[in-house]
Amino acid sequence: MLTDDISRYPEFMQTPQGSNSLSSSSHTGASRRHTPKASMGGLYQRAIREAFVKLNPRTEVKNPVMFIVWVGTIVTFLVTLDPNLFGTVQADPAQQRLLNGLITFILFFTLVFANFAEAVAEGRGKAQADALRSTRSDTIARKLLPNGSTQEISSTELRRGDQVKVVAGDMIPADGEVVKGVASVDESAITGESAPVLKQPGTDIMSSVTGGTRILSDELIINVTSDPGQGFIDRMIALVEGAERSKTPNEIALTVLLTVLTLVFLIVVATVSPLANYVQAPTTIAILISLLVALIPTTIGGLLSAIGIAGMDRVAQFNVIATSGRAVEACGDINTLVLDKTGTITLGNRLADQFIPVNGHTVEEVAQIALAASVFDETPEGKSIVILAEKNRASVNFKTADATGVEFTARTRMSGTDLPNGKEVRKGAVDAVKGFVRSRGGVVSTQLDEAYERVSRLGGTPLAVCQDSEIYGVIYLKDIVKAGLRERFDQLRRMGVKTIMLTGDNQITASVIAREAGVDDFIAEATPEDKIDVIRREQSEGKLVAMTGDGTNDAPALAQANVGVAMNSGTQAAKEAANMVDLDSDPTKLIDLVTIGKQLLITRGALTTFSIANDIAKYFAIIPTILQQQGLVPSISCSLKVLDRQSFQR
Amino acid sequence: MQLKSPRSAIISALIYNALIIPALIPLALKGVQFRPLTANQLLRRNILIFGLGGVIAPFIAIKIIDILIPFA
Amino acid sequence: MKRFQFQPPTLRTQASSQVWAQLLETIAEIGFEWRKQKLPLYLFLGLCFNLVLAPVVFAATGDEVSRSQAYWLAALVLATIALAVYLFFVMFVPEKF
Repeated sequence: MLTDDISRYPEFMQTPQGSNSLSSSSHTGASRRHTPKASMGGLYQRAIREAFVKLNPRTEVKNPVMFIVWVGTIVTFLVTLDPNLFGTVQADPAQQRLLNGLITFILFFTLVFANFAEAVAEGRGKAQADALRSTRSDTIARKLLPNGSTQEISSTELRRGDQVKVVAGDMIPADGEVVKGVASVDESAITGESAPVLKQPGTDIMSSVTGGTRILSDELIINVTSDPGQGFIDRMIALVEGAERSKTPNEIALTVLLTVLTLVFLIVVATVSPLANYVQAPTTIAILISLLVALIPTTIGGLLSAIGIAGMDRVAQFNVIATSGRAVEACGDINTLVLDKTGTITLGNRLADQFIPVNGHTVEEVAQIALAASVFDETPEGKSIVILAEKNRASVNFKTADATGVEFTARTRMSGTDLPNGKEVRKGAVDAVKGFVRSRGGVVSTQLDEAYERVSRLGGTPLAVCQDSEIYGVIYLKDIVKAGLRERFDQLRRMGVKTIMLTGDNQITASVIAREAGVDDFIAEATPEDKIDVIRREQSEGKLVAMTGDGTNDAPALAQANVGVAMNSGTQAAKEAANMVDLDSDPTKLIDLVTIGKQLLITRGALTTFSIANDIAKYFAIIPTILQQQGLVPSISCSLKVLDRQSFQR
Repeated sequence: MQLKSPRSAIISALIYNALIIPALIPLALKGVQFRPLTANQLLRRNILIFGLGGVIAPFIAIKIIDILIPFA
Repeated sequence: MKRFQFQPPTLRTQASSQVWAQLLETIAEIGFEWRKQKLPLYLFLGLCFNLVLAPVVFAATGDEVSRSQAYWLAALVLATIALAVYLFFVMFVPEKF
């Protein structure tokens, strides 16, 4: 899992561009399967049908620019039926009808194409929603009655507060909290992660289960926390389907701009007719409508909603569910990222980096003792010590079967091994080991404190190792900064995004990691409550803040942040407070989300620029011809020629 | 622009106007290529590509459509 | 409508009261539909108003425009004004669209 994560990042870095990076990353982790993908086969047929359905004036009226085109199409259709409808036309009626018919035809397809763009964008979300819906089916739930017996009811009859029992092989009927039992659950339906997840009560993160996932082993008693139709998957379906889609503030602003442009051109074109009549160059209604349609920004008008929907879709393909388009857009405007150190900036686990001998011992001796103390340690830290010790040519010189492991406890803050020859080797927090050594009659040298300080200054965690009353040295456990993060923070800085790291570590350690990762600011010895203070402080300076979180105590901060991304492994409270949920529970994704949001804003800006620039060009392509058609331009050039000749003759 | 006739000019402009929408659908759905630049650099770059491109492209496209369509 | 106004109240048999009920229902339904479907109503009102406007246009244009052409020209002017009003509306309450 960890190596998988690391190998994915460099690719995200080079192409932080939605779908491309996803497809390239999928073959590095073959076990990864992203959110259930529906077949995109019928997507285009469906979109073509939708494009015609959307010609309904009730739909078109929502898009001012395209509604003008819609009305224009109706009018040109009328003049196709009768070219003389609005006034007698001098030209041959049959030819005039052909021209008007052609204009009607082209305008009609302009509308259809614009609707098609929106339909394709929506269709991708709908296909995803269908795939999700297929994972959710009515199941039989075993409801726990007060007298302890169970009753089989349909999962749709479950209410918040009910308790249900699920056994291996069952579908979990609703969202809930585990109250009893330990079991592994397959959550691939929503996360795409095929490895099962362990669920147990009492823990903040591991006790929440999602309806529609499958329990693989053992049994659980679950307290239902959502009413039917309001569970996580239901909300997800509603979101990806775009049922709750409303215009974002930026879209509204752009709509107003486009409407003003449209209105100005409508007035201009409406007054062209009397002017043209005044200069004895009457134009036809169809030509005027063509001019109007060419002038108004139809390109961006037709693509505006598609861009917004596609942005949400890109986020969904990233396995992140956004509660609104507003949230996706806000990602692009973010000024400050608040990041947890552990799991986001550094790998979750610290790894042994170096042995520092004290009291005249050699590195090999320290390695030997550290290895002996770690053979029973199954934690990633312990394993990394074993690997490092073996690199230092240490080997286990006793029968592990005869030795007994001593587990780490929060009270002793040490772990180790009781060797077959009666000796006790320990490793642990420096002061805990000091106490152990003193209790065995040993003395603590100042060398140990020096080593301790050296490691702290390097940003690491020191672990002392000892055998009975003799301290051998210190293991330097290093926080590993995720690969490629420094470059990404540099990128962010160039884009004007500030990063703040939050950590529970002491000032020295935090500053070292901060420097190594290249974050702009850090807060050491932070409590979860500090998060919300940091966010408030930044917001009071007019900045938009994004953060990630998973615990219940993160919920207020998630709600306060402009963009709060909850981990799917997190608690229900966190998920409800956030405006995005990351199904892969990968906090580093926040950086990618900023990229996607910025990309959305840039795309919209670029296409608006393009569309308006186009209008200028179209104007110069049409206006001369209208004047020319009425003989105005040739007559001017003629008179110029006459003038020339006259001056020549003179 | 030396187009065949006024009528052909209007039809060409409208055809361009209609076809540019589906032509830009892939760009709208995928998003423009993202580069980590400062806001000013981005603005300059995009105005150059999409602004200048947006002024020039229609002239070329309308001319080509004008040549392609059969009637005068 | 006229028919029922002239109907003497003495002839209120079973059958006629049924017709009454049916008619009221239909009127209510049309009224309801009208309230619900704004677009046809506005279109209808616009075309009615156009009947007033058309003679003005006809008088103003002189003899180069026929009577029906004047009517449609007035309708076009009305439609343009309606579109302008609609665009103003979009400008000031864009959230609704």
